[in-house]
Amino acid sequence: MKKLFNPIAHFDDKKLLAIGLASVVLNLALGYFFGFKMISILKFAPSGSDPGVLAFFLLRAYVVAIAVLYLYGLLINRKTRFLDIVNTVLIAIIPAILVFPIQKIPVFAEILERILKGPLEVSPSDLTMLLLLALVMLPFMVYKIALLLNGFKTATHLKAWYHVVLFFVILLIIASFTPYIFKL
Amino acid sequence: MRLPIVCPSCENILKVSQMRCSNCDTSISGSFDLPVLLRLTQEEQEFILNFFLSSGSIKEMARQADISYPTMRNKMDDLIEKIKNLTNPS
Repeated sequence: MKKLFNPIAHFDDKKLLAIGLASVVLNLALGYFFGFKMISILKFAPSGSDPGVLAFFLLRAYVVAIAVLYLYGLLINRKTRFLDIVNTVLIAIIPAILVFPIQKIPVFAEILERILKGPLEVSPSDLTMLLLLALVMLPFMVYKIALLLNGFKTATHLKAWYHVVLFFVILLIIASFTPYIFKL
Repeated sequence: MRLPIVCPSCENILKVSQMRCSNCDTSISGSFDLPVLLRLTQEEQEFILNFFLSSGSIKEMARQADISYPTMRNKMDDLIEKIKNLTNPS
């Protein structure tokens, strides 16, 4: 169980990098197939099918997250390795990628489409299904955050509580500002 | 038999009060501090020994212990911090 929630602490860094790079390819492939683009490490959005645009959004999200977290890691511990931060970010995104197909299950996809067209005309049954979708997706999101935090803690040897608080603040900053960096 | 380093009553670090030659039975009494390495736990002493036997390679130690490099390095950093505190108590 510990290995599942903190692979950075238990597995060889080269194996993790290989899995992480494979997940980037999977992210691009599933994003193209299911029509999602990665806005930031915390946010995905419906997208067109231009693979170039998808790749740009994807790389930007990864690069910004890795760069910012690495700089923060160096502030906490100057021995922080770039490779460990890269592995943390690449591995943590995997649960979010696995959520793509769930959102495209016809019953959920239809509801999401209806809501996007007219958010004010949501029926109680749609709302119930939407709640069900949120409940299904929640464990994946929690798992993603746990992977990010545990991996970062191992990579930087983070111990102080205020560093953890700052970590979440920085995650929110990354999520908010990534869309405004290197626009297409 | 393991060398006790902590007082079982108050948990303070013990001191050496007597040493004896097993050949001629000469004994020396006094109050001597334990060397820093002996003030570490058994596990920490083994860690340092393994580090030496791995030619100082944290990577090799991580491979042998089946954990990742950063985890092993973090253990090493904790031990360095502890030894610094033992040698220069603030």
